[in-house]
Parts: sequence; structure tokens; C-alpha cells
Amino acid sequence: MSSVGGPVVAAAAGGGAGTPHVLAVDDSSVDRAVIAAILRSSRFRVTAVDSGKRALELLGSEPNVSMIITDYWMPEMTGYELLKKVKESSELKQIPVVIMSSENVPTRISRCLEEGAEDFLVKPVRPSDVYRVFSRVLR
Amino acid sequence: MAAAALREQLNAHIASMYASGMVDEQFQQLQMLQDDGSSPGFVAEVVTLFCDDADRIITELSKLLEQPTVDFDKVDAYVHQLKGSSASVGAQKVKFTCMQFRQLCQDKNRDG
Repeated sequence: MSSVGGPVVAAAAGGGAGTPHVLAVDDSSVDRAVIAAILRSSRFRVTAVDSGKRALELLGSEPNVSMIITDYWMPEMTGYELLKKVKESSELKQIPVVIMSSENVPTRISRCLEEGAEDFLVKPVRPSDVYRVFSRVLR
Repeated sequence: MAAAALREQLNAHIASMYASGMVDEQFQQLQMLQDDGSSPGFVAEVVTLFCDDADRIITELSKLLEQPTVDFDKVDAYVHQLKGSSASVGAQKVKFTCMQFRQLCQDKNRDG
């Protein structure tokens, strides 16, 4: 069952123990709902949070996150700043990170990729975008 | 019979939304996510979230535009949010209106 909305962590039940667990980070409740539904349709287990701060809190307590997909522009901590913190952490740096943004800015994209992002998706994110990236990264 | 008639009415309404440009392909993507069975009730859920979010943003915009001196940067930031969420749900007309609105912000055109 899933209950998406508000600032609280929203979790969607997924498959068994072998199901990849994806952490989705977006301050927009609408975009959180959309990305969570796209990930559920691929049978991923999804936890959606509304900020980089909450994402880091969850990563500190949840050992089995397979992938992070995060919005770029968020208040207080951008997706780029979250990416940097993940890649600077010895415990977290192996987790693939995908960035999403509504703006197609080449310098922003290259900066994220240089920092270690697996891919950069321009919003609105489509199921085909997610399938393409995740099947490559989680192969 | 009644259910079939309602379904037909709903489908006709959705078709007219596409034909009039009110919604675009992204809305179709959301319908497909619902139809694949993994997210029943998803379209209603996300549209409700969008309407609540839009209502909040429009309220904030109204307050900002009533100020003697309009902070166009703040107005633009809110319109940017609305443009993003409208694009995510396929609300094409809203998205295009936001794009026009952002141009007016850049021109600092309150009357526009």
C-alpha cells in the first residue's frame, strides 16, 4: 500500500527481499507521486521524501537503498548538494544517483555527471526514461 | 448499463481534453500507469495533489501581486513551481500559461 503526500516519508510496498529499493527525493508532492508510480510500475520498492535532509536521514538508517533519484532544485539542499554528500561518504558513495530537472541546462548536466551522477533526466520524467536508466544501472 | 454510460461519458470528456489541448501526452503516460494495474486510482490521486498545489500557489501569487511593489522574482519562483507540476501531470494549457506568465515576470509587467 502507498500513501504519498506531505513531508513525511511515503513508502510503497514492493516485492520480496531481492526487490531493488529506490529512494526518490523531490520537494514537489505532485512529482513525488509521479516518480513513485513510475518506479512501482517497474516493481521497485519506493520510499519518497521531500528533501535532501530527509534523504540523508533515511540513508543513515536504511542500509539497502539500491538507487537514489532526486530533483535538482530543492530548497535548503539541492539535488547536486545531495549528490556530493552521497559521493563523499564512504558508506553511501557506491549508491547510484540520478538527477531530475525541469530545466535542460548543459552546464548543470555536465556538473552533475562530473560529480558522479549516473544520468540526468529532464522533467516531465516518463516511464521510458526511468526504464532505460534503471535497467542499465541496476543490471 | 449505467456504469457503461458513465464510462463512455468519461472517455468522451477525456478525448475532448486532448482535442482542445488541455492535456498532453504526459497525461496519457499517467493513464497508462494506472491502467497497468500497479497504481489503481493514481490519476485521481495525482490530479488532486496538483489541484491542491495549484490552489496554494495561486493564493500566494494573488498576495504577491496585490503588493504596492511586486517582487517579480518571488512571483516567477512560484510560477516556475506551477509550470513544473502542470508539466508532470500533462496539464498542457496550464503549462503554456505559466510560460507566458514567466515572460511577463521578466518584463516586470504586472498588468499583463
